[in-house]
Amino acid sequence: MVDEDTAHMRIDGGVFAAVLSPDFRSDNTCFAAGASGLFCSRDAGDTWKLALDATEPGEELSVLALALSPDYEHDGVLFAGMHGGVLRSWDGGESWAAKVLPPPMPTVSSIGISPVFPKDSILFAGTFEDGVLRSSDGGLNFTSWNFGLLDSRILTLVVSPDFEVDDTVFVSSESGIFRSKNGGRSWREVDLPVSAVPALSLAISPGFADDGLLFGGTESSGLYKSSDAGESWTSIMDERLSGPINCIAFSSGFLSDSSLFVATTQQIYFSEDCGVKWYEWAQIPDVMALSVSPSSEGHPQVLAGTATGGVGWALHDAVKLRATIAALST
Amino acid sequence: MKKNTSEIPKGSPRVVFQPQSGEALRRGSSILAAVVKPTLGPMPRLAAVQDIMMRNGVPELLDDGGNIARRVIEIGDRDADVGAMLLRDALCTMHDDVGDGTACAAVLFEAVFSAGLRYAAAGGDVMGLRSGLDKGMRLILSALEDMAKPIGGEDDLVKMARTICHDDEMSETLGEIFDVIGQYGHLDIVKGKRKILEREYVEGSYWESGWLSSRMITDSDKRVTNVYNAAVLLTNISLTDQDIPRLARLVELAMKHGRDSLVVVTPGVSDSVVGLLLLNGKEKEDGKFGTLAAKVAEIQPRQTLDLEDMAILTGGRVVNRDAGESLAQVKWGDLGKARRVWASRHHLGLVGGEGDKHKLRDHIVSLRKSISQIDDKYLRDLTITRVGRLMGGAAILRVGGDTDSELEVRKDLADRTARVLRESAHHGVVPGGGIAFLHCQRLLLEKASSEGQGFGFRILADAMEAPFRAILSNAGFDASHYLMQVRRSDLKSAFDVRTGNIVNAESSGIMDVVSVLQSACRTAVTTAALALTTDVLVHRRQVDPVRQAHHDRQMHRARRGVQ
Repeated sequence: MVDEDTAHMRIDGGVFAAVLSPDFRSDNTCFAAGASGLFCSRDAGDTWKLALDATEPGEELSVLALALSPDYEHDGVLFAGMHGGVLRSWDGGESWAAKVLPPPMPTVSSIGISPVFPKDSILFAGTFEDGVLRSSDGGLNFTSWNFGLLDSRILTLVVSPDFEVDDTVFVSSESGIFRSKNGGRSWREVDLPVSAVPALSLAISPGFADDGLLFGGTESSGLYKSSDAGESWTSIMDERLSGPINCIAFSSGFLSDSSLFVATTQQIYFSEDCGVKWYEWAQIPDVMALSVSPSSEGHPQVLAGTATGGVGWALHDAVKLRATIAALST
Repeated sequence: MKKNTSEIPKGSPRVVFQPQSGEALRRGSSILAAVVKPTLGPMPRLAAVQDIMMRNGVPELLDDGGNIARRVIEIGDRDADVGAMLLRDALCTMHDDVGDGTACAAVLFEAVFSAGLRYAAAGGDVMGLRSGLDKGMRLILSALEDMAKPIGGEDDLVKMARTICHDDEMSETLGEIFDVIGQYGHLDIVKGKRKILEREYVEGSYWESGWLSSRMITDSDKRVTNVYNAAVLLTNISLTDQDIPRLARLVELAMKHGRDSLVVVTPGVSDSVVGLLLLNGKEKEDGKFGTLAAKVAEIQPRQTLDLEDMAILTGGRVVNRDAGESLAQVKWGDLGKARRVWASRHHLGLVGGEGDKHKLRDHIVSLRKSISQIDDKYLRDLTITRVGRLMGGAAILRVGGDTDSELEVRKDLADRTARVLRESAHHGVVPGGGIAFLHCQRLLLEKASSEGQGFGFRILADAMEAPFRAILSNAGFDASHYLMQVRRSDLKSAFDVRTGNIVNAESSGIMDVVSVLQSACRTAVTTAALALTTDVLVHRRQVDPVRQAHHDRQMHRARRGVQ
């Protein structure tokens, strides 16, 4: 059940994506997508409103992926991925236009957006069945570009923050991680150990152009780190991270504070030294989506969505690390 | 009294010994080397070859050493002809294998062979020299490999292509294609209908086969059959009327498991089988069940290999006639699965095969490993094509031209450039313009004193200058003037004959494919060593072509029993 306009929001069937506006500190806008639709909050998560649901009563609209334009503040563009296509909104989620993909329709599992989207209009959609679809006209048309992509079941997709220069995109599939260095037109497998796949989550450093840093969270082999743009990978030796890593999120101030978060099936962990040491951040199980923003005090604010359907904040307490996700307590 | 060779009647059998035989080999090979030498470098000169078909008496203008050598089928001097044909054979073989570097090989050969002959004439040990040349060649090959760097992205590929074809449009198109498809990518170069170059990218994997009946076409405009969410039967059994009940069972199985179509890949089907498939194609309740019978290559080993690849891509199993199997034994798990299957008259394509990705990856890795161990060119090319297919995606380049002959020439050029680009992506590149060989010269001279085979090393060291000198000479520069400058510079520098300056090789795109240089060196040195140890030339009786034709006719009549 979905209770509209409530502070303690639950999404039936689980949360698949939670995204903060690039200008979150001033517009307080965040989105959460899940098995029963897409929700929007304009007051930093205090109240949530249904932004998109099924057109027919009784039907459920499962939104698996969500991406906001880097210039969201001005263009209000966001994309939602689901079975059969991609939805685009030009007005911050008030109205939507659908791009239905050709049959047999795939399920869009992840969306990656160019960091210079207003300029190049490039958008990627990773699918469970048809590999990667690329749009160079802002999501109006999609073309399949799967050269070298041995596995077309895409679990997650990330675009380099320096995409305009390096044309780099990474995807993880059930059987490996693949990299494209030519804007998603062809793919080469990276050297992740075979025993480590599948990688459930990927995260790319905001300073990727300089540090080449990339993290991959696997299903059964814990967390992997690459410091050379995916050429080689090393396992992060921490027993607590040995289970499935559902999601990874860099702090928005990563370049100065070197902090990042990972969510396992047990809880959220936090590192402030680029993944060397890890601390427990919040004991919230089955977190499926993470998004991080600096709070007004400069501490990271973590928006989390769980497999059981809760969405809320995991706040940092200066005295003790603890979770304060009201919605998740239910 | 010794008889002068010029007095021997033309066409009579003859034996020629040293020193005449060595001199004759040098004379002939020098003529051929001189023919192809002007084509070396970025500013090649042309060779006008008289057209063998005598079409309007227009000569063929060629700038490619391999093709020029191939056109030289005889030179007047019978003794020298042996030398010319020895070198010609080596160059043609290299051209077929690598597609480039024949002029460089010819220049190197001439330098090594001439120096070797002088050494032999001075009473040197030729067999010892041969051993030295062999050791020196290995040193060069290894030094070149150490120098090689992987080729970068599209820009580097375009620059590399430009050094081969000297055609901006073709360079840019092929550079883009190889950036997308990679070193193993499946590229078909075909004749186009328009005057320009056109490229098309095809999703998934495709084979040269096609539908078995045009009645299965679903898109009549493109004359293509498309079926989705398909179960795929792979077999080398030609299906006859007896297989109809078994095939009907497979159609039911596919429907029962929620598939939207059944594809049968087989060498052949009877009309009744086509009828059954068409009938079942319309029988599903929602009328959307698709059927497709597509043929598989009939020649071996392609049939077996194609079926094996399709099975791995789709997760199916080949129902094998040779193992005594029939359709009666086929279970649901034996059928492959794919998101989309398409077939045109000449092609069969699979998109989104649902086979085990780990198995697919292992298969690709084992094929890749086997490529370097396959000596047979056809099988090696076939294996590269298979890897490209399995990796998914292919490109088609349609080459156009104003006239048929221009089209042929451009297609051949595109083929050659593509082959070199593939090599460059596979083996890496070194500084071009003869610079890489000059750096080997230093190494050879260092080793010459420490190795017992000093002469072989020194001859090779001197020969390493020959490509650089030839390139500059072809562009109108005095090589001696620039040789010292280039020697003093580092490995990143090269002489740009277009500007007359020493420039950064990489940024200026003056690069050579390392495997081409290695092949040129290997061809030149092994052929020269062979020629140096050849002491005797044996000429057979030359048969008058008119008498030969008369003789052939008589033999033919005798076989038919005609009196």
